[in-house]
Amino acid sequence: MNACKITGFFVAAKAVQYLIVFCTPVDQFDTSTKLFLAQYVAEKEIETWINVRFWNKLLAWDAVFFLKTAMTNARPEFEHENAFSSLWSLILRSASRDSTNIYTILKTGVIIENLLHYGAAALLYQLTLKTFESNVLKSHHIHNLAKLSTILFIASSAAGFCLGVYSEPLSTFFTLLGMICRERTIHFDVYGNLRICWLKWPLYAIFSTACFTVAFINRPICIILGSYYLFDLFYLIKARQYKQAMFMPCVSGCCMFVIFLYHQYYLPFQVYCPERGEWCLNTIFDLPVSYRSLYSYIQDYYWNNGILRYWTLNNIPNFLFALPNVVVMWYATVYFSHQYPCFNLKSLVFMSRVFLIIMAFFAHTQVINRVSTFIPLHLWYVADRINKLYQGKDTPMKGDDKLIRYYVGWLLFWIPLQTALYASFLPPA
Amino acid sequence: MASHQITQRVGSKSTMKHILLSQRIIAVLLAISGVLANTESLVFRVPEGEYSSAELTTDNDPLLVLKNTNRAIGRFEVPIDNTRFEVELKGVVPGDTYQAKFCWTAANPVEINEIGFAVDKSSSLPQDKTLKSVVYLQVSGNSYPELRSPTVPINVSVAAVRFGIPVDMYATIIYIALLMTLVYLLNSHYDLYTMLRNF
Repeated sequence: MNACKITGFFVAAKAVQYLIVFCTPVDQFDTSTKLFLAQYVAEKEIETWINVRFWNKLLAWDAVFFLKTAMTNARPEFEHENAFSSLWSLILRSASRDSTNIYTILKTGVIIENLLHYGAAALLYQLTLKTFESNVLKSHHIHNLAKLSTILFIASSAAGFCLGVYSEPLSTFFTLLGMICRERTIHFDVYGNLRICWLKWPLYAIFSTACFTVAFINRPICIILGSYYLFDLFYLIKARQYKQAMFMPCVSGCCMFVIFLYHQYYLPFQVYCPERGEWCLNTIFDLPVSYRSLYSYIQDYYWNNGILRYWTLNNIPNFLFALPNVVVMWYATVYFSHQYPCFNLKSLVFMSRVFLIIMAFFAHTQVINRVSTFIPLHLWYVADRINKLYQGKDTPMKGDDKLIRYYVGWLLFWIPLQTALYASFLPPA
Repeated sequence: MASHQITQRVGSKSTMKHILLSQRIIAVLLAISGVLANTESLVFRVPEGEYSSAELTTDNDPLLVLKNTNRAIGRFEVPIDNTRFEVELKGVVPGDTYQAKFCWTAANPVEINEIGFAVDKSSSLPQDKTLKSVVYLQVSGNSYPELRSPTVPINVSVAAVRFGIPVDMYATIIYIALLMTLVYLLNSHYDLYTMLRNF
């Protein structure tokens, strides 16, 4: 029953969003989409009725980079284009059967994006059931919690970014899949000690690691998922489960770390150095790696990301755009630490805090609305408060419940607004 | 650029006041300051004077004609050697305020180092008192490896500003306002939060 409801909601929400895109005036604020398209297709094709009113509008902001790299067979032409997932571009290119028609790639990308978003929603439902089954919720409460979380995930603040060819749904899908794999292998005994079943070793050490690896190769911020293994390692050592600690979280964490070094340090060095200069110059002990990752250099040099660099007066509107998610995510970490402490959520609480620190102090903060989709903690917080709310007719809401009401109210306006802004090629990006 | 040609740049004190007001309104309305990756914009007021006729055009010079319209857009191949590239504006109304936008695709990694509006004498002849208005930009490459092409296509658009808002933004603003009103009415009528709770 819930599956039907969720599917129905997904279809309805996407239909409304695509309708908003379709109805948005064709004259975008940023007129560069046609310049981009003109490099790949004939003017006649760009100006067809449906392309002008629909497809061209999905090519705003970073979508250009993903499609461009897909057109060049997943090989970024310029250094800074490495900030955008080549893996996602490769998937787009492969799924469109190596087509070189940009509209074919775009349409294929939109289909995959929606399938991944829907798949991730289904995974979140399962993950919610699994995560909270060991907690004190009654069965119908757990199912309601899962349903509400999934609804909030579908109608998330990422809004218009999940309509086109952005790479977030891919990372979210694999993150949630990895979380399910891990969650299915672990349990806590009556003393609160972490236990991992040896029979499920492949699920933990191979599948969850592979999923998290795909997630961070696609979006480097997902490297914080490695915190799961650090926490598990710590708890297993604390419980004197040394063999499990060695062959499970230690193996998984090391694999992730080695792949991270290879992908972010070694591989770019082989491609660009020493001819590039700049970030290539500072090598570690004359090894073929720079002390700085290419991604970090790109974010710093091309997008001016760095500690407190975004904290300027003209960015106040962007902080305001991010504020609802920052507040709700922070409250979610407090909620699951003190008001509703769940032992199996400790690592996710830690990750959410690290994520918030990165977003607030190092990044273009408003991107939290889009990038936060791979972390479900705040969705569980919102869903759980709504789930537990027994409000009398004239009883005013207080505390968390009031905050949740405001947050949901903000989402109701934000989702159509951001969708229209995206289709108009207007900020926030 | 010969020094005798430039008679007025943006601008005198009163002109600047007007420009800043318009820019502030636009910036607050759109909350766009500092985040537009592929667009630079400029608001300017056309000073009073006698301008060359919109009919007198040559095929070779980059120009935008705003005769009998309050907006125009053109695509120009702009060199990326950081030299000044000018687009002449024909048919602009003296005393009126306009917004100029310079858009380039992210597929071409360039940065715009300078944009501006200037009024020049339309010819070097001393007896010719007519003026011409131009918007200009200076572009350079910003990538590794460097762009191979010596030029990049850039869209230059100019639109009149009415009530602090460029006219080409009216449709979008009205659409968003209608959309928000619709959401408000739906929420007032159905209480979407309660619907979500009972879903």
